Amino acid sequence: MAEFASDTIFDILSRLPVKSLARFRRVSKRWCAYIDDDYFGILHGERAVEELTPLMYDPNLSCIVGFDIIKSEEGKFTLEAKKVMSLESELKASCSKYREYIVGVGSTNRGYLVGGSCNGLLYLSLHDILHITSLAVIHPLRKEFYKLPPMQRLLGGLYYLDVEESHGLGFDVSTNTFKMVCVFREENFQRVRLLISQVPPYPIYGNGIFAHGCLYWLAPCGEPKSKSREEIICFDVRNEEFTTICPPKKIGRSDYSVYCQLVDLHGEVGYAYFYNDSIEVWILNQKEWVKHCQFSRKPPLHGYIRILGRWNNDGDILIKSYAGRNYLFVYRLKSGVLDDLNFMGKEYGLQQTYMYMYPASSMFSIRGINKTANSIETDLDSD
Amino acid sequence: MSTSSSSSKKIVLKSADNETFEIDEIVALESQAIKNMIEDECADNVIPLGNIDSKTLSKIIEYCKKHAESPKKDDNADIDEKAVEDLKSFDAEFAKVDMPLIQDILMAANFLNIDNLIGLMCRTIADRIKGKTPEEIRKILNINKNDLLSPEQEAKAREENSWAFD
Repeated sequence: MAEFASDTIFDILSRLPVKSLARFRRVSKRWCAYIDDDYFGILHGERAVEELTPLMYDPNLSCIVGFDIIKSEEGKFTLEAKKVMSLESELKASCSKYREYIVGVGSTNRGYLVGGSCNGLLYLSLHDILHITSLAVIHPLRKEFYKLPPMQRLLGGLYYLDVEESHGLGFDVSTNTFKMVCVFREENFQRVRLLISQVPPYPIYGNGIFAHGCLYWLAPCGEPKSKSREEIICFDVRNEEFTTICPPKKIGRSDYSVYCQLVDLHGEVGYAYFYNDSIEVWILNQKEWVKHCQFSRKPPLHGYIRILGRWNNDGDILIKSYAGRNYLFVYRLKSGVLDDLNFMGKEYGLQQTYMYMYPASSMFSIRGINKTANSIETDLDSD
Repeated sequence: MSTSSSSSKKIVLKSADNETFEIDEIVALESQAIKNMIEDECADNVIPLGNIDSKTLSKIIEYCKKHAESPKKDDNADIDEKAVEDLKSFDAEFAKVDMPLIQDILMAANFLNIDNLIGLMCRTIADRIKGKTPEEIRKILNINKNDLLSPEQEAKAREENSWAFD
């Protein structure tokens, strides 16, 4: 029988997970060319449904740990830890003298922290005692590590001790480039680099969440400027413009028991709202907030609760509850049941760290970041 | 294969092995290619399909009949969930055939331009090959032996894409 026409092969390939595609580059020259094609990357991104792999960074061992999800006959989950990528040598190479000193005195703040993920890349940030931040982008699938230029260079010299900053990694489909957005806040004003003169309307804290071409941050409650209205800050990665949108719920006054967070729900931005006896999770769907689920905030959930991400393609939700130590749960969307997660591989500092649902969801996972990393550097050089 | 309803217009399809299939026009219209032929009035009484054998064609007619009978999503604002589920399980059963027939159906569906069926077959092939090795793929899909990577290229591709989670 004859081989299929190219659009048919495109159609079949676009329905395969990246993991299979990585292997299928070896099928033939033709298949390899198809998989490496730019257009295919876009088609695949629109169509494919990826499995999610829980990933975390272990600051004590300086490595990325991935987890196999093992399902028992009763449907209970166990996470088995596996070292995916060691960053020890990269970290040593990038450590300043100061940082070595800090590490030497036993700081727990050793190494990088996972900030977020975009199109198959993770980015890590490290704040040290001098507020010198290092940003690095890693590619777990290809085990690549790329460190961004130091921030001093960006700011034209050493910067102040009271500078705070937040980041977000986004992807611009119009130019096929990743963009790392860094917002610096120096006392009463903010500076946004990458040639953006416009300043976001509210102070930005924390890491941005990338979805549908935009990065999202939650404007903090209790900030003088946002006293009357909570807002979500939105940065259009393509046009490089800040706007704000309204969250689905308004919190009148921030207290310990009522709070909200934004969460990366694998390509969607989620808004979790914790109040009284309930937790609500909303998803931004074509500029409208749609309620994803609502469940009870009762034991076994207790203490400080955070939504970590989307557990699978059924829309189940991964939840962390901290009460003395971390507990992980999966909320089942269909049944409304809360399953607890067990761990194997306790040598990894799971209890201390942040877990990230990593979607190997893009063809960029296959092609690697070298090309992209260079373009990031070019952007900064022209600055 | 024939249908019982006599009121509607009939179309006759002729397979490569000269078997004829009389079907309702509404069933034939599932094929965009046949639809165009009918609209352009260039369809004779009998439409010869010289590259589709009778085994493949009867499967395709089975598919088109089912889909022609099912209520279309855009016909009604309230989508009948039961009908959608019914069609889904029909599709799942329909796809339970061997790989050569899947490929024949896909080729024919491409020729006849039946969008849903193309999608179903591509999805089925993707599901079946996703866990396979490159060697198995070459065998299953009859990849041209002249198009294989050189040993050096293959080693490079293997190195580049060693999956971090294995």
